[in-house]
Amino acid sequence: MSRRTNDRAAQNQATLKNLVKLESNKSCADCKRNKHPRWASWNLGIFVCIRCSGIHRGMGTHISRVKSVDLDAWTDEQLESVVKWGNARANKYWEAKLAPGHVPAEARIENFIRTKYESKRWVMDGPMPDPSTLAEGDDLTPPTSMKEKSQIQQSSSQRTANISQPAPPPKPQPASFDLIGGDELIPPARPSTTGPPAIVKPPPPKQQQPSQLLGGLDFLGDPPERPSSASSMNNPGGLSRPDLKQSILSLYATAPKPQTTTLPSHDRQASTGGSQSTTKPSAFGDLSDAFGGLNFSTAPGSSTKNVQASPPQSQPSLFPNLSGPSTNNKAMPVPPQFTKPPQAFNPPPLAGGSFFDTGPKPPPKPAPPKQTAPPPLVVRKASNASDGFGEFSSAFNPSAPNTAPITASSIAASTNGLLGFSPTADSVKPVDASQSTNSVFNLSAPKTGPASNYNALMQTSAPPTKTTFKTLSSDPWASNEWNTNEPAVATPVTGLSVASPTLKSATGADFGWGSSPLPTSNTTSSNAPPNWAKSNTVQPDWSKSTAAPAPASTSTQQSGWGSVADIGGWGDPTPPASTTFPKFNSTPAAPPKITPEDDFGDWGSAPAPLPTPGPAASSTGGQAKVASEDLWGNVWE
Amino acid sequence: MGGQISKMMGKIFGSKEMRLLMLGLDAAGKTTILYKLKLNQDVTTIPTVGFNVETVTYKNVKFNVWDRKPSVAVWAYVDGIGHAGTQGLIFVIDSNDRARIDEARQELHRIILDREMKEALLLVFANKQDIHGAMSPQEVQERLKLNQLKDKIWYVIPSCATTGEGIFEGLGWLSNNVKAQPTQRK
Repeated sequence: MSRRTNDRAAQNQATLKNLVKLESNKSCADCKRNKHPRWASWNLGIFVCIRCSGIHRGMGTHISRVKSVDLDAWTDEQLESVVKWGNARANKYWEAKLAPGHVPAEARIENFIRTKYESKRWVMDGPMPDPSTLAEGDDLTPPTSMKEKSQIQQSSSQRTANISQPAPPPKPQPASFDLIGGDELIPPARPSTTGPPAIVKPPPPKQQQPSQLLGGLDFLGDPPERPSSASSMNNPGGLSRPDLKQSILSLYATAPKPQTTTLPSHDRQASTGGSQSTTKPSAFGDLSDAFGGLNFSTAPGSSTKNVQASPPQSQPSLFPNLSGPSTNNKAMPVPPQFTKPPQAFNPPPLAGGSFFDTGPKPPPKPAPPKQTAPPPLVVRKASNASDGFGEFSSAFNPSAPNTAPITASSIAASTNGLLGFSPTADSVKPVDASQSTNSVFNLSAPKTGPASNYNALMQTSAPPTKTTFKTLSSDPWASNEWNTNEPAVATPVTGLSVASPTLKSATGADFGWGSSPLPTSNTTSSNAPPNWAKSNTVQPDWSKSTAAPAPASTSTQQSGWGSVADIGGWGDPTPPASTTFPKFNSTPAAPPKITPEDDFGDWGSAPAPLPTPGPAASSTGGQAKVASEDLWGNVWE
Repeated sequence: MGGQISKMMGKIFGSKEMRLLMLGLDAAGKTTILYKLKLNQDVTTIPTVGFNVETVTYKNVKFNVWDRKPSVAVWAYVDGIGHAGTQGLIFVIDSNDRARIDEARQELHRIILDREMKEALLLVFANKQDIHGAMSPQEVQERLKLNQLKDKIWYVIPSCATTGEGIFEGLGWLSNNVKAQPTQRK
């Protein structure tokens, strides 16, 4: 019997090892931060990190029964529970009333866990459902999103590689587009996912459409076309969508690559782009791990361009990376924003680094040319142009015509400067992003709006790409992703806003990002950076920002999330802002499910982060993660 | 004889040392008890991989406490560490975990019958009494089938590691009974 048991145990052990490799089980079910959890609560069916497992044990075995994945022998019954649930499904149940991407504050983990399982505050109404009815794939599930992100990163990286090559196989994928409405939009192709990325799961190839994207860019140019933005706005209604969008976006991001962005609309777009970018950062944050690796390559070249100006902001960096080189060029104009961008990424290197880099590279100049590296997506860059985001976009674009990878491009596009640069298709995507953001904001501009839609579409289309995410990490994509995310967020945002704090914060953050960019002017840029940095750094910041929201508004640009900033960021920077605001307000109304309390409390407390500048590139890395987390959270919501 | 002298000396000079081994299923509260004894504060623990060793002084008795989870995998290793001189075995039970009380019983009987534990006093902490619905000390005693243990001095005490309730009483019991231990028997 003992032998039999041992065999069984060995078998179960092997099954467990495979379970832990599932994307949703790769990060702690509770803190969402720690990767590769080696402990599990078998009755809850989740995998958690050792720290959270200690808290689970402290609650008592009537709530949670902890076992080690590596050190304990598992019975079939225990294993079955974990197979049935898993982090994704379990959180769907236990965090049903929490914003999807919610990440509890580090310091309140115990409180969070006890509230989650002991008080069951966020549990789904009704009796505990059969886990099989909780689709793991839903967008809603945070875990999934995380997965996607990671995937995306991977994909991005891959893409980057691809990107370098100009891949343009664009296949337009219509379906996704629908949303966007803009056919034009075709998402940049994701080209690729093509690739290679081993990791990535499936990057769906489909969506490649680079050239088309370019075409899309054109559209961008036409603001009007983008109606989508409007649509995107509408979309908000469907919160559910956001996730998809995001995922999609991420895909796009990866995919796109090249493109130059250029879109006329850039300005707005840019702004939007900014916003998007912001979001991305957050994503990055999450990714950060991945990115960290990535990065940097950054090369040099990149960018720099841009303006730089800004210092530090982490964001910039992100973007910069993303954008990479190409964008840079574009950026030019806007100096303010983040400088960081400079780095260009090589695709291979991925952007990730770039993000962090952020750095400022100041100098960037905007050379219009940026394009240099088309492949690189990068975009980030410059942004300057318009808003920070714009920079991002621009970065992407750089390339121009190339494909664009799009995301970047899109970003670039957004930025004005970029726009100019941008050329085409790629630009389109970017645009979308930007647009989307806009839409979110409402800012208005219809033009942008569309873009956003595009993004959304893109994202959707992206789905396949999701996997790619990781790859994306590369700069370009990443940036794209961010963008996308944001946009997505944005849309959702309204909804989110409702949600409130978290969301808000998130949004705020986004905004902040966006806004900063906007500034176009130096000031703004400068401001922005800080914001980013803040945002990046810690969640708290975000929260703060969110919390603060109001205040910010005053200053337009800067402020963070404020309104102003955001607005500005979006593109329209300034003026529009006001308009946009309204929306925000509206959003607020909506109430978020989440309760601020515990976890949220942090958010609330968080004051506006803005102030902080966050420049340090290195630091950014960390920050970025955090921020990103937050962002995601928001996004999800 | 020598042992007695030394014990007397210890009494005279106010110091006595006792080597204790604290075991129990995972999440029973061993580490929490240990640090409650040591630091008198409620710590948030994480699963103990390996063991914790702390020296705690209570009423002039220096307790050398080993806190470890007796998993099969580790047990052999434990023997390597050598608990031969253990004068007291503290076995911690999660009184709220009825599902695993049988597992705990098997574990306890296996350990206590080990020759290295021959002379050890057995103190059972029926821990987690703060949780509503926890088994009473009497129930724990029955479920553990302590009455089946021959030639063993044992005692079940209700405790709550987070508040410290019962913990020091347990140490007091050990300290009072250690001298009763039939050292002479050896």
